[in-house]
Amino acid sequence: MNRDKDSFLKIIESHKLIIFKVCNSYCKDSEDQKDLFQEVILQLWNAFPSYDETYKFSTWVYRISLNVAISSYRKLKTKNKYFSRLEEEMVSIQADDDQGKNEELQLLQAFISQLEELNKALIILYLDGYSHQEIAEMLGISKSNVGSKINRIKNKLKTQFKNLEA
Amino acid sequence: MKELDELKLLWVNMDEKLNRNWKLNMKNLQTANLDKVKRGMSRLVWIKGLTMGFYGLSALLFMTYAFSRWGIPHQAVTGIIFGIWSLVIFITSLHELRLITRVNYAEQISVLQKELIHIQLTIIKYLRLAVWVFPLYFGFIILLFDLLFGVDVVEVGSRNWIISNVVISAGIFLPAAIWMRNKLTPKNANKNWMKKLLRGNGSQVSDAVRLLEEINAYQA
Repeated sequence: MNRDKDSFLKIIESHKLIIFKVCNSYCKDSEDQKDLFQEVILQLWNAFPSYDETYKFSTWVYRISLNVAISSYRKLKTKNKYFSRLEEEMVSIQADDDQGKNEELQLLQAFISQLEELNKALIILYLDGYSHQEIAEMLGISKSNVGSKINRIKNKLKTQFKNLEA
Repeated sequence: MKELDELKLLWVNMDEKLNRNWKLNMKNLQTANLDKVKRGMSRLVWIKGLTMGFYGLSALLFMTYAFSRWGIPHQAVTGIIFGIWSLVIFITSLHELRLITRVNYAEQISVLQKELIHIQLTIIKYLRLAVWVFPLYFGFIILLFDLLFGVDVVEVGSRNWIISNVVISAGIFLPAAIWMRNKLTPKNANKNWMKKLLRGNGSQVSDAVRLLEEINAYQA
């Protein structure tokens, strides 16, 4: 496998949605989302030469994106001190044009953003269709812990939706 | 009530929404200098390397001083104490440098986050080491007078003056240092006095402690 910039950009292009999802879930402000996106890209590029081919690209992208997002939330307040700023804007984000049309989607987004860092990672991976085993492997916790945590978060989400419907 | 399938369907809608509203600037990505992050990292390694070098050299100089004053117990002991103190900071920096150079974002999430938290919490380790300067202040006096003026203050100082300094050091500064050391724990990171001591890093340290507790709960 080529480890040049063109191959890297192809991977980014085909897995951009994973990075979008992580940035969108961990930051509310669009400027913070852009900064986080940039940081994820830089760390992916940094890790690209040592990419372990036994992992799927999607798993690798998810692991790095989540790790950067979780560690960056502590840095965002002092981001100028920590983030290596690049002049170029890597992603542009348009304001949501369907506000009000999909209230449930916005609620889900709001509920997820209220979760603690690891719970957020867990539910994102789960909703994206990863198995308990894959999630356990990515997070570095036991499969049984994944199951019990998912149930707890699912119930929490259900209760929150139920409260709003009532 | 939202059932699982409905939640997953909503999540798919989220994908569509993001695909619609977020646009990757491929042209900018192609021209961007992505290697900048590597330079940022090596700057951090360089700073930590300098800290390590400074304390490594200090440890060597203090130990050399101790051996050169082997026949004068109070000066030799002072040199040994400061030598050990510098050596501990050197080892702490070395450990920190090892952690920094090992940071791998492709690592399992709980493993990497714990490593990053430990790096962030080393600032508290340095503070805990720094408090020992207070009870050792008389050692600094001995050293400075000897090195700057060639005067052995214990030899020329009055007995009462020496005893009063030893009493102040052992009776006031030593218990105070032990008390401060016990208070300087990550658990106190969210206290106002600790935030002031950490000079702007307080909220990050307290967030790090909270995340560490979350990870430990996950692994329990």
